[in-house]
Amino acid sequence: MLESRPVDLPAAGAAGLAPMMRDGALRAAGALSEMSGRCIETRSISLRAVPLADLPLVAGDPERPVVAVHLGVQEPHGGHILLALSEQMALRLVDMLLAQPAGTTTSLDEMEVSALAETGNVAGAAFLTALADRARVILPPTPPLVFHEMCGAILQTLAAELALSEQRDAVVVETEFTCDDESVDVAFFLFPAPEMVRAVASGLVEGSDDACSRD
Amino acid sequence: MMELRLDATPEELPVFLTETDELLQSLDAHLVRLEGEGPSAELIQEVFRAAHTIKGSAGAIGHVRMARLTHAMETLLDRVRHHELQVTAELTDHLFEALDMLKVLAAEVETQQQADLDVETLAQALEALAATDAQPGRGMTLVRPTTVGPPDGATHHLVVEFERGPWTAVRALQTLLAVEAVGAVLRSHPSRAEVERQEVHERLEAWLATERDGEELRRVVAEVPEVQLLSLTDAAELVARMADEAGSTDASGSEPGSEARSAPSGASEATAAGAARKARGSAATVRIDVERLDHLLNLVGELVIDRTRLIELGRALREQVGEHGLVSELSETTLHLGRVTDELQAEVMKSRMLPMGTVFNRFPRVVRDLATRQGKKVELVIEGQETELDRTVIEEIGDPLVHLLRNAIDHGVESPAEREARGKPPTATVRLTAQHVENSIVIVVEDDGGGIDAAKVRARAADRGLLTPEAAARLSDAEAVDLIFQPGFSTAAAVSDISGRGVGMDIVRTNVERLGGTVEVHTTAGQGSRFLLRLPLTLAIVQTLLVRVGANVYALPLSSVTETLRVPAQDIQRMQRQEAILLRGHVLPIVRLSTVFHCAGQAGPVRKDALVVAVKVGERQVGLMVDALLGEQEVVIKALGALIGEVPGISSAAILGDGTVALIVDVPALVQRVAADYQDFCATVARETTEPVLAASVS
Amino acid sequence: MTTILIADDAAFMRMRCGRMLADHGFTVVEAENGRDAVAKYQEHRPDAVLLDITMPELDGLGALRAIRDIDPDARVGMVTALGQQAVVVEALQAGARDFVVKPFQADRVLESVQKLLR
Repeated sequence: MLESRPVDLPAAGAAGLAPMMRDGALRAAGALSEMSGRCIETRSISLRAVPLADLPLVAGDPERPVVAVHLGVQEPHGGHILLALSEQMALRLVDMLLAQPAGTTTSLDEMEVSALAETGNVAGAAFLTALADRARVILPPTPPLVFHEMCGAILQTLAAELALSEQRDAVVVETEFTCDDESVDVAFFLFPAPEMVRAVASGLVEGSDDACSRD
Repeated sequence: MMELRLDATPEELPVFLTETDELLQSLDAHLVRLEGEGPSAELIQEVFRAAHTIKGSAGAIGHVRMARLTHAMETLLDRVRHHELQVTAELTDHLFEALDMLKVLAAEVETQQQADLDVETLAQALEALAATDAQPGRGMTLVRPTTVGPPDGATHHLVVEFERGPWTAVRALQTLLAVEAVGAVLRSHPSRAEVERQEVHERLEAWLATERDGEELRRVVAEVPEVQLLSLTDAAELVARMADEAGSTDASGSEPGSEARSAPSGASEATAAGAARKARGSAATVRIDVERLDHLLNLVGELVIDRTRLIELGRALREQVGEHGLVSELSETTLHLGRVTDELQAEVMKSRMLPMGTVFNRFPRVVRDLATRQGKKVELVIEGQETELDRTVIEEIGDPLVHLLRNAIDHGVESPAEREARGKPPTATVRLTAQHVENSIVIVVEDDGGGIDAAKVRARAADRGLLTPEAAARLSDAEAVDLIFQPGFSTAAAVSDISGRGVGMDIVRTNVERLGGTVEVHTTAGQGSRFLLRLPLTLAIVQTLLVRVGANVYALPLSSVTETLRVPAQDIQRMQRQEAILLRGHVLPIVRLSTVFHCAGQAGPVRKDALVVAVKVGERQVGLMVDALLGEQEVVIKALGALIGEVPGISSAAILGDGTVALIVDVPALVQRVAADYQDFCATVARETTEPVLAASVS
Repeated sequence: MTTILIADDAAFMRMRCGRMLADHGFTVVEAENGRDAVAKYQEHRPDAVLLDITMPELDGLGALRAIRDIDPDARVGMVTALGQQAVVVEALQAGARDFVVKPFQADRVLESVQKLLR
């Protein structure tokens, strides 16, 4: 899970995050399941530190077009969330959300985009709730924005923003999902800034009595 | 010495001892309060009940002398209880004597030898006191109103329980809001503020005032989801029941939040009465052997290791075999296993936690004895007894705290006359608090005594040859006061009768640092001093940074690591034996771990860039040179074992996911070693360096 | 006729909730952010309000407080993805009478409205 490389260490270290990230991913999957009406589960979760220069590569081929929902997390415990889908997957998901037969949606207009935005919002918020409740802090997300372009470009913009806050590496938490037991091209990313890592990791020892997820 | 003949099985004895010890400790606290505050119905009741219980247990195991003495105490207390006797100084003194004797009698059970005690004489003295003619008329003078019991105007007492889940605080708040719609919440536990901070566990209890009836209250509470009403009682009924000897079965009786003293919910019933009552009556708690818990923790540690191994295997398998269905299943199961293991680990860690109250309990007596012996008047205020700490830390923290209290009373607190001359109240206040702050626990011992005079400290330090008078003069006041922690500063080489070991402030600091904590002092001459101890919450599981030195893997506790650096060879200064670099304007001494641990590694001059891990203990910072950084890992500490014994510089070991053994470095000890040379080195560098040398900070 | 005000920046959500409430006989007024919500409250004085929290311009908690300033007896419930305990506590403190976490079952919102109207 954690690649062994020297990382500029925030106070409590990224290692304390692992169990909470698992919890967050499971909740995000749960939320997606409810919204789509399908059985969405986590396929894998990884936690690593990536130099900003390499960030555009974390979602695979940077020239691949994706539909991505972005949520910011407000200061002081800031960060970013991306729910990234292939174009095909985005259309399929919209059909599920609108309870339409697969193949009905062929283009992403206002209502379709809104549905995707809301899905990203709900999944992201579910993830954050796992962290926030453990860390006993509030992690408020910003309203979702939907992007439709090459994934490298989206990540490049994100990298530029992280560079502004003087991070050298980005901590990347990535979750991949299955839908009805098939792998799907849906990836969820959390990029926590050092302050969020610190707050969440220091909540690990204390706040472990609410481990069960709320349904 | 005669052998002690008892009528009990070997299994019964530890139980007897644990229960009796608890009762004796709580008796101690109660008697101190009785002496200080005067009698109250509830206090007398507690003391009587404790004596009565001990008498029963002692009788049951056949400890005749102990039963005899407690019987005499009971007789005396019974008369007081019925308002037939007044509580005088003579009475409390006798009770204290009896209590001390009981402690020795209880200890006999362990040694199985009779101690040389004259139980009969004391018992008869108690009975003689009890037989004095009843003082007619006055009855019990209540100095203060009962400290536990309903606030004025309460009409109902409510207890609710929350379903397990992440929204307990929300439900608690909803309950409070629901009740506030039909009445007022006079007092609740947890308090409103605690609910807002989400410090809620399974229950909420509250004293309410309302004009509505019980039915309506019930209805209102029923509307809150995931909340179960455990009890709703009429306040008057409850008070009557509480005053009964039988005691109440609900949870309300002993809860804190006492209003009587302006001192906070403190040194009070919650610790002792709560503990004793809980021990006896509540079916919700179970006693467990410390060894068993340690064993559990070991097992969990093994699970953690195996889980990591499974993850690695899964990954390796995936690389070999590709995305096979079974491989995904394996990784999912491993993920789930991981989640369960994490919870298990958290639960075991929590079950190792004990409230600070177990340590704080003996302090009122200690303070009372010290103060009396020196003719001083001291009030001890305790806050935060419910703050929890891992038992390994709890066991070690008692002695340093006793020493700090002793120090406060011996040197800090002035005599009542002196205090009055200074315009202070004749009774000094010593305050002991504990609270959680992020990942640590902070314990404060403060007094409103005379403070520490920096000038005197400087003079004594120079006297003792710790540093030259000129060097002493150059220190700031804060730095000067910190000198009290230097070895050799204090004269207290004499064995302390309280802890049985020689103690000095330097030992306090060493012990605290050995626990991974820090201690600092703040003082204002004439006004008082404040000692602040910061400790990690647990010692058994530690987050570490793994490094390679030579062919071995070492683990550095992450809590001491501040940063990792890549240092070009030319930036390393060398003065005499000590290497160092300039880091952001400060000198960072460098220690080569390969030298310390005698392994082949970075011997000789540094050829290319050196890898340095900066660690910090208290105010001292040192750089540890290593060969490679391997990443972070959370490890379960395993003791080195008797065969290996103590290895300087190593505190313990851990087993990593792949089976390698990592040695955990004793960072405070290493830093200590370097610190000795540090001062001189500092001065040398300052003299010989003309320009700042920049250290690169590269990951 | 009972009027319900729903505020959510996602057209998708407004459509879903609005349609469901309309099917049950309620008149629905929509707002797309907090500021809009407060304005529409002034204008229509609905019988109950459902507020999302994460919205641009003014978020749900801000709108809640503003609406309660206008009308201390306003019946407001939150319908939001933000289920962090600290947030729920804050909302309850600020006067929200119910709190629904997305994703939800359709009946849950209906239940909430019924509870608010009681």
